[in-house]
Amino acid sequence: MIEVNEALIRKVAELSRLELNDAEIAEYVKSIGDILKHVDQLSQVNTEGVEPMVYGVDEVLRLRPDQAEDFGKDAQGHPKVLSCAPEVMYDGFKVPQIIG
Amino acid sequence: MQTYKTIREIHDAFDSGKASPLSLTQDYFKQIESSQHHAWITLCKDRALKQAESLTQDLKSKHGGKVPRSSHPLYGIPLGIKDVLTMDGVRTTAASKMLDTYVAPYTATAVDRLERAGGISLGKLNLDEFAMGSSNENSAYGNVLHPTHPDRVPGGSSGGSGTAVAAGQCVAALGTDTGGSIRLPASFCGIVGMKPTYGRISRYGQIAFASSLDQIGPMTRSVEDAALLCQVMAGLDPRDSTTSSEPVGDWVKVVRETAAAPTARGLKVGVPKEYFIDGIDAEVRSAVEGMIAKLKEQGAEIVPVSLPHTEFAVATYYVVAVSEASSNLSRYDGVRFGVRPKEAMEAGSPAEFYKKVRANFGAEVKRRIILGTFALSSGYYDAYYRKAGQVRRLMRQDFENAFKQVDVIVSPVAPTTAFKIGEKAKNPLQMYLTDIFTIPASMAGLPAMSVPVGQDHQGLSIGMHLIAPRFQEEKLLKAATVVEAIAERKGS
Repeated sequence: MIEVNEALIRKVAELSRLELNDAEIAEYVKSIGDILKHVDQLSQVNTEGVEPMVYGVDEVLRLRPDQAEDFGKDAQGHPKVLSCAPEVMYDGFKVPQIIG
Repeated sequence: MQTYKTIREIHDAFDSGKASPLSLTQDYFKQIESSQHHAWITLCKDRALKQAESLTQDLKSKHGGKVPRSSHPLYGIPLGIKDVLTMDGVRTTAASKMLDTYVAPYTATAVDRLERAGGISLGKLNLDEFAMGSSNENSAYGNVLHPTHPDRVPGGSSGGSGTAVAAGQCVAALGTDTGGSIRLPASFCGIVGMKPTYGRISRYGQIAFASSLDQIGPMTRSVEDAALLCQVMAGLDPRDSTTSSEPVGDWVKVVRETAAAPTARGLKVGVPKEYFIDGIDAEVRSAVEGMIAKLKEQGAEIVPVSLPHTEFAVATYYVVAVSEASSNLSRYDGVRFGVRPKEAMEAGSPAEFYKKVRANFGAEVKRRIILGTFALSSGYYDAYYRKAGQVRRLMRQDFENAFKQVDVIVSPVAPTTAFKIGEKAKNPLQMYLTDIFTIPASMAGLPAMSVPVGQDHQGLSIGMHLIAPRFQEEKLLKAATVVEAIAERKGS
């Protein structure tokens, strides 16, 4: 059985790219601890030789041809797919500088 | 305002000139605008009224005053759309601050099919953030209130859909169901909710929570309308590779024929002993057992069945669903869509940038991302994610064994009626256990419904849960029609 403590929550939050304050960490230590304690009952189930069920469907998934679809332009003549971008520059997604 | 039980009645009113798509749409907006339920996040009033006006004109000029039922089975019908489904040019928030400003550039297939059939989308309905919750207390846009008991929750996560339909703010609504998010609010709000077989309805344009479980479905005032909406939406979609090629039946016809002479003769009804456990509210148990007795009187064969892995359902779900969620929600990186706070642009590294962006997630969403990331992380994957997948397989086999003997399985939808706002909000595990009876069908990908069968002494609705084998919507709807007919006779 896993012990859920502050160090574990901090580590997993870092992996999840989430910034938590001390109050949040304390709350998650408690609530995630409770939930994982409940989840631990799965160890009682004999699953030897059972293939995990990962997908919701049995059919073989079909792939579409790898072709770009035109999403069209907005009223200003810019690509419509950019309408939801947080920031746009020269008809592209603007991101912060990554390499100094 | 005149209330209608079925879309068929509304179409009759259009034919006779008693109502028009425009008058009906205006009436529903009046209802919405005078309501205090917080069921809606965004209204599409101009868009909807324009559609309604043109449908009203076409009814006279193109269709000779008669609704073109076969080509447009939802002609002029005002609908509500859970705000986790995209509509081109309309804000789609998933009830999260993360998507507060997101305007989708495309329309979900399910919504598109409803609108092509003549449906009018009035707006976007409130929900638990990213559909994560059982009470609608996790919305960044405020709690949705129960339609008749404002101190209580409507159930979640499709709480806005449940309240809006029950409170007469739209004819029918779309919900989504990952572990019970259609069936639970349908039960709490006293309406019909249907989750079809996984793969029946395209998830294209549905903001993903747990992709192997998520399904779209209707929430309506009658079984017939649920059948109609499902039938319109179901079927292969090249844009969702998990949609099934299984043929879609004429489910409306099945419901109408059954309703014309409802009988339970020949119906084999399974009653799983694991679903009638201590801890179920006595009035819920009595309403559901009462309906089982009525089904027997009407000729059904009642067969005790066993689903031995039920007790592990919540544990399994809260590994599988959160693992998928942690992966799905990694896309909220502030680059292509969503809110990008100013401080993110001042971050010193990409990791810092993501953290500033992802501070927009609410507490429950963060909890599930952390749980899921943990279950998938190195050293824990086998003990959690793999193990849960194995138990999930056993749960599916439980159903396959039970369905060798019966046509449908029945149970309560939830152990209680609608609980009070705040009652479970501080205890996530207690909240998760609300879904104990709806999760197994989700894990196995089975079609399932909630049909109202009574009320407790406080007037809170009780739903009966019906589950059928994969792609056997016909059996499910037949049984649901009989249950609905018995419940209505009892109530009248």
